[in-house]
Amino acid sequence: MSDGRRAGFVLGIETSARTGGAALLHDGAPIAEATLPPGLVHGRSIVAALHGLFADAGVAPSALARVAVNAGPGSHTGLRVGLIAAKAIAWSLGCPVAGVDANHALAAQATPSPDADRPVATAIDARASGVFCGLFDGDDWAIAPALRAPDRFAASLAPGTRVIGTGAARVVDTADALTADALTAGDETEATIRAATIAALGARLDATTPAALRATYFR
Amino acid sequence: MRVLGIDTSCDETAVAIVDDGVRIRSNIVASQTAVHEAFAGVVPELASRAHLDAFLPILERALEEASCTMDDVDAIAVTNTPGLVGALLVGLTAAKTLAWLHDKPLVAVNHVEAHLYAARLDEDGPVDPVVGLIASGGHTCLMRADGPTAIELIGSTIDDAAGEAFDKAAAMLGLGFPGGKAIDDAARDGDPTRFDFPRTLLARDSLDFSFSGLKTAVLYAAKGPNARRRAPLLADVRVEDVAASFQRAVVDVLIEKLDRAVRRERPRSVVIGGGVAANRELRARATEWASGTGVALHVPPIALCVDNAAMIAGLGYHHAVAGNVADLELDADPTPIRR
Repeated sequence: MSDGRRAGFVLGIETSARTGGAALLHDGAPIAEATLPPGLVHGRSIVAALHGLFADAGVAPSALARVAVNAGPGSHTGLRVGLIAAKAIAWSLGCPVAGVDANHALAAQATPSPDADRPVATAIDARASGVFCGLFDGDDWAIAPALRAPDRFAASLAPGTRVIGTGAARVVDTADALTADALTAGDETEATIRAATIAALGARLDATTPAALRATYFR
Repeated sequence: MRVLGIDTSCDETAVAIVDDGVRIRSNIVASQTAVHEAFAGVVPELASRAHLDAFLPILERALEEASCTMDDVDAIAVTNTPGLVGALLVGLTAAKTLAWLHDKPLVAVNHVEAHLYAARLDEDGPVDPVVGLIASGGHTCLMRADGPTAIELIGSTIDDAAGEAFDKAAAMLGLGFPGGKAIDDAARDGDPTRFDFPRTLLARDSLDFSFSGLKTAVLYAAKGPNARRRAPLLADVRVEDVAASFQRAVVDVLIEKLDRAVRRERPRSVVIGGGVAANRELRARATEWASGTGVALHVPPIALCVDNAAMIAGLGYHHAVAGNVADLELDADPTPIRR
């Protein structure tokens, strides 16, 4: 494809949790997706997976218009693997790169609820540190992404709020024990951030230069 | 053959470009000393963060200083072992990505073997067989080399690395980080015979090292045997004397083990490398010792003793020539070098 940049290929990279992957979008539509082997072994597998992704799709990496990557929060080592790969790709190809907030990605791929107006809370398990969490309401954050204790986050949510992400059960369980105000947890499939979601969000967010791209750690 | 070398194994982000294993076109190192200073030691998480942010600017500087582009590079060599795993993964993933996109062979390099190679970056470098003492903050070992890539480990530390002992001793004495230079400077005004610190030599023929007992002895000398419960007693001793006595003990052990290795392996050349090789007493004592043994001593300049990527690119050249090329699933192996 000689004019790939105009055609709009966007690469998405997700390495923030145990299930990682890469996806290639063309004009907003997924055309190829690779899932990394389970476990935090993305350092071994991500570059080989990217090589295979482009080969299988029959697309030259030089056709990329943009690279998108989950910039966190999440597993620190996992994030850095994805971020350094994204930086090196964007630097090599001279294209922009967009860092996507992990909570934003979770909210964006939430299954539409029967009550479309109901806000979606996101919670990513940060183990002893609590949860990386936020509350997405329509087009903006009602509670900006931050690291919080599950009970404190639960107390800030209205009854009936649906919570999605790997830390959702911790937030919902805490709310049940403390206040009996019902929160509902999303299902497990919603808790896994997909590389295609990263690519789709990254295609429309502000991009930066590869050297300026930074991780979001929150701790 | 022009090789791009990358090293992010510990707390230095390093990129270099070396031609044919010997001609250094650029050798750029971003030090993280300021990041770790407040903790009196390397904090792995902070090291990894700093590598991520520093890598591309350092890569660009290395290419610019070498007056070349990625098109002019023939192979990419990267440290994949040993080191801090999170730190290693930053440089390794960058190297694999560059190798894939620029269609260059990828070469895996052992960081400690590269320290031994550093002496060969000098065209009048060592003649094989070589016995090498590598002592740094993460590693202390003895190796025999019958060629740049024909390396055998013949001794290693069973607990702490020598450089780690320098860092810990400096912290106990309130001398700051990194400890190597701080101890070296303080020791110049101290009495090396004031404290009779232990020299752990292990079995008569052992080429292994142990520095944990020495570390404890320094703690007792500096703060008393009840150091965990009592305030520091440093006012009662001269810090310079403790530093000098500690340094003398470390150097005595390193020279004794080197002497044992030379008597056993009968090399033509001896190399001392790693960050501890910057120590002035070790350099002076090793020079004096070598003059009595008849072997040629090679100690690289300090910029090539500390962590750098020129040594990675240099050794990587020989692996590339030998066809030792890695694939894109090359993994990081943090396992310390042990016999």
